[in-house]
Amino acid sequence: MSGLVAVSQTRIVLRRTPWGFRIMNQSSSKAAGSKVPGLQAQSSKVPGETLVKAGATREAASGPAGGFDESSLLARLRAGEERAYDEIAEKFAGLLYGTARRMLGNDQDAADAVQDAMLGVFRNIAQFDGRSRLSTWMTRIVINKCLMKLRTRRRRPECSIEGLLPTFKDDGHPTKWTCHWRAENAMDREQTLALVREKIEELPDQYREVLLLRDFQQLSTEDVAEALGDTPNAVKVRLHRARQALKALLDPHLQVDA
Amino acid sequence: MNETDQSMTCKEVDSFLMDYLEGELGPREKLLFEGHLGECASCARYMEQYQRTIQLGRDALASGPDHGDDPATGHVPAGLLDAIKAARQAHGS
Repeated sequence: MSGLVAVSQTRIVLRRTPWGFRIMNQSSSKAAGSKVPGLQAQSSKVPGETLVKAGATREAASGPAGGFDESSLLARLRAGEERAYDEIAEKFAGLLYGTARRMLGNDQDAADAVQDAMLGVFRNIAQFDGRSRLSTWMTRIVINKCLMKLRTRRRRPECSIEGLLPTFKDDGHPTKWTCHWRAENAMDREQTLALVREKIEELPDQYREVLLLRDFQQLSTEDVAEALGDTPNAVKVRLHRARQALKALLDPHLQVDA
Repeated sequence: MNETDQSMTCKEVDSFLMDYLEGELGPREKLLFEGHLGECASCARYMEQYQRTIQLGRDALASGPDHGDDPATGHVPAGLLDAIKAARQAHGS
């Protein structure tokens, strides 16, 4: 499979407006690294780009393709049937957008990632060999697009979460004892999960991404390190801090008497 | 903690917590870690809440309004499908 895919000079850009998203053309002469993952486990040698290994993504994240005839849609796509392109986008854009939104934390970047991913799907549909579900293959593609965006963002200074981490005295005792959380109550479970989603979004990018890749997509530490261009140890430290910060953000809401 | 220490501090428990949960602590450290948890209610509570945080995070992300088992149920922002179509036509895919 080819490496870089030259992106043409015209890019369709989706911009968020108070009335929803609006399509705009944007001229660009930049060739973008746009290698789309195949089904072989591999690492990209293209700078600034990493591939999620096959089988590494959380299968449930992609959901079943049930309810429609995947092989028929594939055949129509491979035959270049115009309507089939619309159908695959209609069918899977929501799934891809949900994944991208969680990884990137904002609507605009998520929409861009989905658009890039769908173009990758259209270009590379001939390489899809059916060894995984179509939704899984497409989810991997959008994750790779998100990782490329995250890598770009990582050039920005890292936000500090020091204030959310436990602190200790010289003798190793905590400066503050752990509060008591109330027991889980099925009645307010949905409310709690909504709160957790909100707090995950409050985490700085560098912490949210590692939490999503390790705890949600369930990639291995090594895969996350490769994807983010970090060492496995740096990923472990960041993940530990991300979990601690999330817990600290939840403390005021889940502690007894909250 | 050093070679002669027979206990861990709360700070050391914090630094070993993830390795403990992932089964990566050596036998000696594991013993000391568990010994500390047996005596320190605050650290035991912290670990329980840390584990609950991980699980809540997984459950929350797997159940969001724009995430379902059926791909068709995902939320699609207005204009995204049109943008995808326009981009495809512009790129000649």
